[in-house]
Amino acid sequence: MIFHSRSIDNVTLLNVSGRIDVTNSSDLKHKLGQIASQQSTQVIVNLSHVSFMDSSGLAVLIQGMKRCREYGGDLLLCNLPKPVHMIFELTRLDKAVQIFDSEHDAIAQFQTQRQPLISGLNS
Amino acid sequence: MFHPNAFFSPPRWFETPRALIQNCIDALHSWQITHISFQPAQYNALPPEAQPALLHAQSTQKRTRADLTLLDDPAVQLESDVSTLKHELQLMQAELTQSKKLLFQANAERQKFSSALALARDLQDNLQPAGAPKVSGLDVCVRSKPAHEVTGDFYDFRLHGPNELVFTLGDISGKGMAAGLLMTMARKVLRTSLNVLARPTPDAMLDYANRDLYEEFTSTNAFATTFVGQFASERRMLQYANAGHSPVIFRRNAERAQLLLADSAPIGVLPENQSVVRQIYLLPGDTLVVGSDGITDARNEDGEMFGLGRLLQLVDAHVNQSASEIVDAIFQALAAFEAEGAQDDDQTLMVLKGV
Repeated sequence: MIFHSRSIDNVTLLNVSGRIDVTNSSDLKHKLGQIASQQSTQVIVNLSHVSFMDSSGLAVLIQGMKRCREYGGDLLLCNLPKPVHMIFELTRLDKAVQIFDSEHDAIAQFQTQRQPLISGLNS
Repeated sequence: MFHPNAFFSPPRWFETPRALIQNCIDALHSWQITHISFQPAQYNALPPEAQPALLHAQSTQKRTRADLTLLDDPAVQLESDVSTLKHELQLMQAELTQSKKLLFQANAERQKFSSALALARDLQDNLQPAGAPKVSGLDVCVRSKPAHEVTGDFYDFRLHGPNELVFTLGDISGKGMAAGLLMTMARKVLRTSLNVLARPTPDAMLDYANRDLYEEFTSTNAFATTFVGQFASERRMLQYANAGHSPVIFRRNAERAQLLLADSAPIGVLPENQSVVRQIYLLPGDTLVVGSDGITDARNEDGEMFGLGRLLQLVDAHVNQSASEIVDAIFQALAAFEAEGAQDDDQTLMVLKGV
């Protein structure tokens, strides 16, 4: 599993490549833990280069999502390859975690979430 | 006898190198000296025949007195080599003894761990129902093949009233011991829900389990995909609710097998789950297959997954057979497909046939 992360406007974007299963899901858990320790609660995980994910991988992403939400943020997913998207559909985890077609759409979601807060502060 | 410091100021010569060495040995003993070293200039000032002996003394300065040997004497050299070899052999023997001891301890630990796992496996086997209770209008078979000693898959059957069978099948995320521990909790909570809920419909049971287990599943980073069915034999009606579980296949007699997709997220994902109850009639010839993802995710030597397509085809192909024959056929197909020894996820399959 390979990670590449970058930050855009308080949002952490994490690109994950490879297979995510019981043998290496702890690496993803560790990576998300690192992001959380940097007080980043707005996280986008780009799964475009993930070939397979088992329930261990799903559990780690759900754990990351719960932690972000606990601190007022969220963990969004984007660019899911068809087989990975199907896993989210079959398990109905697509009802729990927000999935977007592109990083741009996911970033826009965080921006719209912030908008009411900013206008609220201005008024 | 001279203190070693006195050897060189003024220079003091010995008749033979052996005499010099003997003096060293005596000096070490008398003055309780543990280390002797010689500066290169001092060393070079010695007669050539004494130099090899002192070279050895230098290189073995941390050894005991007995290690001071005369190297220019072939007989003593041989004795020294034998002594060194003996010493090394003793060290190796000591290491071997220590390694054997560690290996024995590791084996004992492993046996203890294996026994604990075997006990856990027995416990799970005893907790899982041996088979399905007999209910009129239904032929039921279930089989589970764990990937490891303990399984994260669970199933249960309860008779609710004389003509109603409640069954559950679930899969804890992850594998191994952690999943094995959580599955006993999940099954127990679902069983409890049947007793405490005023109207224990499948959706109410799932929502009860979700509320009860959300905290524990959050702290243990797990979730459970779960299918709950309730078959009323008099009306042949099956009510079910599906929290993220797959594969679930329904085949109406004389129609093609189709997937019954989940309606809500698995147990333990959202603080409040909105489960949905659905109903179908399970008439004679109709088949319901509930499996765990260890079946569809099984891989062959080329890394290809067994998949939902093959499972649907198998259900279609064996439609005229009994529940146990369908279970046999699917596990046989899996065994033929899956690479030897490659099973890395629990495989559980429940088949319910209307009769």
